[in-house]
Amino acid sequence: MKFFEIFELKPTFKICQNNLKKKFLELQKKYHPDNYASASGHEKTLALLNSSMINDAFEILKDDLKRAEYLLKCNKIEQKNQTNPEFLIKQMEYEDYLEENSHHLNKIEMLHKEIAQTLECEIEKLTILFNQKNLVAASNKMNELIFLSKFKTKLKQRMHQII
Amino acid sequence: MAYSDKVLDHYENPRNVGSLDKNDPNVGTGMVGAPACGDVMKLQIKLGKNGLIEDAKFKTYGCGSAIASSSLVTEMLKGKTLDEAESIKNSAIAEELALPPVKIHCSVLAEDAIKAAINDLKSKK
Repeated sequence: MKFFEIFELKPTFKICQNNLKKKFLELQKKYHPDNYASASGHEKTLALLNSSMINDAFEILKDDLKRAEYLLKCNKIEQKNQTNPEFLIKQMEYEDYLEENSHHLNKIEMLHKEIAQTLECEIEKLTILFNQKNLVAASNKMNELIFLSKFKTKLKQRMHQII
Repeated sequence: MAYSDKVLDHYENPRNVGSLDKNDPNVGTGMVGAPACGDVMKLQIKLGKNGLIEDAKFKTYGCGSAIASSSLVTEMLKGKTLDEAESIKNSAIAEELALPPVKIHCSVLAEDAIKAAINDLKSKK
């Protein structure tokens, strides 16, 4: 839970992004190399290490899925190395659709919208599971969420290529 | 990390891409995925009257190694009995394609796909 402590946040899935960002800027300012221009070598190194840890922590905490994975890892919940078969079929359908329509901008845009909505809805469900402390169920959801998030990025990239 | 020539060959000229009728009682379908990288692999086998696998098809969305592993597997499966097919190990796939350690899981996925397809076929009998 170290990353949450750095930003003085409670270790929960739902966090206030504004507070996170505010605290991040504050800490980056505090450990900025400029403040250590006349400091000893040891202090400089320490500031640098702190600064890079703050960056790492911020990258994890600001991202919904990375934050969820981090929380699960801290709670020693092992992530299942399998996706349920129905979702695999869905995954194949999405990929087939993208392949068949790879030059149709409006069709890819439609799918992108659908995936974005599904992802949003699934993250809501994930929030509920975390609130209920049902970490195993939350962990079981992760594989699907990671796929949806990656696929959304893939669609976006394809859209940019067409334009 | 460099891909071997064999991986590249299967990636550029994949063998046996396509689908078989999943409702055919002699066709077994295996669908597996690697959650970590979002790969999804479908492998289908068709059993002939002589008890040998007469056809195998695959469709894989994933990295080059995952595509090459499944492509290679469809070639290996043809003409084998189910028992022989079931004994194909991921290490044989990895070795044939000279997969680097970080890509071994792709060959594991292909082995899982074979087992899933055989299980599906057996469940129809």
